[in-house]
Amino acid sequence: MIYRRLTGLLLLWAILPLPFLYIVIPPFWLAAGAVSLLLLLRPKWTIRLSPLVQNLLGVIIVIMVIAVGGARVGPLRPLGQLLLLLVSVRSLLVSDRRSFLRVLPALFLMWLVSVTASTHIVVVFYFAASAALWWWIGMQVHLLGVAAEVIDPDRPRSEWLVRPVHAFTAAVLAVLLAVPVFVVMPRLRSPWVAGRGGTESVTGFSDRVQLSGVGTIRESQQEALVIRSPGGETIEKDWTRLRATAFERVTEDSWAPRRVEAEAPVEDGLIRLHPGIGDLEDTVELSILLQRPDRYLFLPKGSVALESREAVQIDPAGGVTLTERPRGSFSYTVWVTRGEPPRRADPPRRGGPRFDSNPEILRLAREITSGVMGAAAMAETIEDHLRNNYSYSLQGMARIGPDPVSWFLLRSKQGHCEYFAGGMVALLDALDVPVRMVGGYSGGAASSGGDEVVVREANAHTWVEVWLGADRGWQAYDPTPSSGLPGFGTTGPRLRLKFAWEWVQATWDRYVLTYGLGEQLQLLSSLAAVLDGLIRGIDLKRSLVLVLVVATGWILLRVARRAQLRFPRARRRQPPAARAVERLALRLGRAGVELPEGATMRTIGERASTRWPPAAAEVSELVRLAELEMYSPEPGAQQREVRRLWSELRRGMRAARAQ
Amino acid sequence: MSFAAKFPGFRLRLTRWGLIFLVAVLVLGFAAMNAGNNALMALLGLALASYVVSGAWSRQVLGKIEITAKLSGEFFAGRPALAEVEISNRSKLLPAYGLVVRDAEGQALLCEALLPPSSTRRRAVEVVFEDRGWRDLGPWRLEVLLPLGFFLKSKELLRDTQVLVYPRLLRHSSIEALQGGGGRSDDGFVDGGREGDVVQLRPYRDGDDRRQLHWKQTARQQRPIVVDRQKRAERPVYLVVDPRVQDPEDPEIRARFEHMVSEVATGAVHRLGRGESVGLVVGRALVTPVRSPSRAARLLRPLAEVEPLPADAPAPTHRLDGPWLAFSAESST
Repeated sequence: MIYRRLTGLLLLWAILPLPFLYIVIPPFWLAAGAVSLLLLLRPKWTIRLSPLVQNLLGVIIVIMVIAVGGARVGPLRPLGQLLLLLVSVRSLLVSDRRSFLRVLPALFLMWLVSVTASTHIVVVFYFAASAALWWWIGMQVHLLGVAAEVIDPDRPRSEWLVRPVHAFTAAVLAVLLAVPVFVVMPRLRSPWVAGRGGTESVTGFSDRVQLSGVGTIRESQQEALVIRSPGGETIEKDWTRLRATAFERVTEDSWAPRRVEAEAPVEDGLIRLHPGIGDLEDTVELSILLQRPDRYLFLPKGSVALESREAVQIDPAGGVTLTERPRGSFSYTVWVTRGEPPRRADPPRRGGPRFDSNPEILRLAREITSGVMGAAAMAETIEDHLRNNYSYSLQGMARIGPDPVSWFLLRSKQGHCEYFAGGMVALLDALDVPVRMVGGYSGGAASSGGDEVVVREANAHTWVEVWLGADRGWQAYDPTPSSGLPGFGTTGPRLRLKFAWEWVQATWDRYVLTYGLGEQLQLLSSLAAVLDGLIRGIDLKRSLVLVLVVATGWILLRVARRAQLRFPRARRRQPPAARAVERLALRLGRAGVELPEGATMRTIGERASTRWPPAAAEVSELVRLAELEMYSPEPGAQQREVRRLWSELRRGMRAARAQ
Repeated sequence: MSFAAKFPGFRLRLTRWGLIFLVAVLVLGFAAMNAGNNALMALLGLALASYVVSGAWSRQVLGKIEITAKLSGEFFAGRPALAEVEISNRSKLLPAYGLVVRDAEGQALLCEALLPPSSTRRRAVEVVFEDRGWRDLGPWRLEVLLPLGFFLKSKELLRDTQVLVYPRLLRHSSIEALQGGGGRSDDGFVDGGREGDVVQLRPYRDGDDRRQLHWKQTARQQRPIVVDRQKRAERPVYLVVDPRVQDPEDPEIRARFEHMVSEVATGAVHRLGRGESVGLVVGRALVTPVRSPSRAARLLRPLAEVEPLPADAPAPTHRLDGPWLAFSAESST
């Protein structure tokens, strides 16, 4: 019966995640659940099926799986369903150890499907609990095997049960040991299985969203940069719109900036972002700390000057790029205007289509802007249209085809900011209005004083700039609905909690779900940097002294260990009470009381009681303990107890002297 | 402590489950590499870590289990006897599961489902020796399969423990039929002490046992009177074993020799049980007569150790103070 119960337990455990995974339809996992409960609760209720009936059942199961969808939804789903139904039937037929061992691999496979198909963070707990369960089952099955071999089968087997705490401890150790194995195992994906890698946009947004094949992933709450006001001034919301650069071309399926870059002109140690503005009197100095600098420096709205200790270049669209990627974090200072931001007037890109002409997009653009004249009006109309008729979503990014913008505008009508901005660019471009997409960050969490704002990766954002003529220059528009706009606010406890949870999720996504060769190389690089720092920081003399100290300590330990092996504790030391009686004899000698040669402990006790009557009770107890230690097989007195008796005895001695 | 000292006669055998596990790990590794699914990677990590933890645990258990055997009783060839076996787990942390101790023939002698850390269990193990003489109790083999049964690890135990096995006791011994010798002498008497028949009453002399005082006569005569008793002198019988045979290597002769030794041992035990005094001559060795069954070991030990000698070996020659019965593998008188 125990094997039927174990089967039921394993089946139930294997199907536990299925209701949340959608790879097996509810009737199937409900049937499997019923089977597992039956095995667990009514193990004596056995079913015997002839091979013919079993074969018929197999055929029926295959027909059922084909009937509910077959392989139309990919191979995993029908295979999972098939496996589950077959395992359920085989589990019902388990009657003894042999049949249990036969069904065990199939149960393991079912569990494997459940684990590998799960992406939620809760799977960590499921995985750890599974480790404990498998350890317990493994130990139990082997112990029962030993019992069946050497013990009379009629003998009760209650003593042959593995204690869960032992299996759990071993499983915890195994899980802990599995972590470094997981980290260092090479991620060399097979060329015929590996899919196309995601493209990384400058904002770092797309690669955090397009986690193909793993479903809905929220953006990371990792800190991207911190804005501080050295003067203690409150940072305005507008300044948290941080611009990297503008993208005016589409290559393959990703946006690209213009590559024409020039060395930034430096005047008085400052880089003037708008050559016409030389006066910094009505500006605010902001210090920006980039946590992981890559290429672009992000400039708050209204930036007029920049100070950077690294060499930078400026592209035609106003993007400031680092010529070399610095190690670690990177800090720079910008000056922003208080009032109206300076007009961006770099001329729009000329020549060459940016998109393949799509008549449907042109038709849609004309439909939206029907009766509207002028670039500004058209831009406003399209912005409103996208905000009101399209919805913000981070889901379903895995199904993007070769033309994601068309797919967004014409089919899905939902996406994240990159799609909204891209859609607006495509629509205006179809109408021959100069337009470009801008990438950067928007919003952040301000400190309670307001002089510091933490901007996270989740604040990554894209918007649009439309050319409204030489007199008005580039004007910013944001077609993303307000529900998708990264917010700006102060960091309260609730928000901190939310950030913490999202950080956990992001860490889970990045370092577990999508942990790969890149992260491994990054880890290796960090380790190399740490090692390098250690080697550089080593002081030869001190190191030599340290090595000598360690070596000496090690040798002493070895000598002590050897001495301990040669002279066990019992031989080297007398038990504590006996030692106390010996000390008592010495005290008696010092007090002038003569003891016969070879005096027994009782004699010593009697003389001591006579000499120090107030301590007679303690002496008697001490002698009793010493005799117990020496002559009784029972464990002797504890050191602490003897110490207490000795101190009381000494009080008695002092009392006797006082008398 | 060296490996050989810690794991004497160490053996490692990959089990069927271990083989399946290894194949499964290889398949899993291949799948993880191909699919790039980190859940498979985690599983692979867990499988490898479990392999290590299981191996370390079972090795530690094997190294920390100690077995001592207490052999307090007598062992006769062909007769089951109990050996008290103490099995201890010296580890302070790790429990030991599914311990199996097997004898040299691979028969399971004892099995412990669970031995907690720093614990000791005492078990009685039935052992049977087929032949007399000094026999090795072991080597027994301790087998550890758990926790996950990938390998069956074992080491030898009780390698140098020897047991003296006394000769096989026969159901029907020809010695029993031989009534000669033994018993009490008809013509010799010895001082009976406090036993035997009353011979006389006499005044107390220095050195007399005060327990022999006859209190009524002492009271009547107003002087200490003791009782003198006498009993018939014991007449021990000597069993003389002549170990000389024509060909000590001949299996048939050897079997006859063994049977003869068994007969002598059976006779000696039966006679002691009847209260007779029995002496023994085995080749050149003489065992002075013993009377108590508790001292039977004095007779049985030389019988357990005797080996057949070639025919030209010196004959047993001893001046014996009583009747004797001679036994030889060739004939007995």
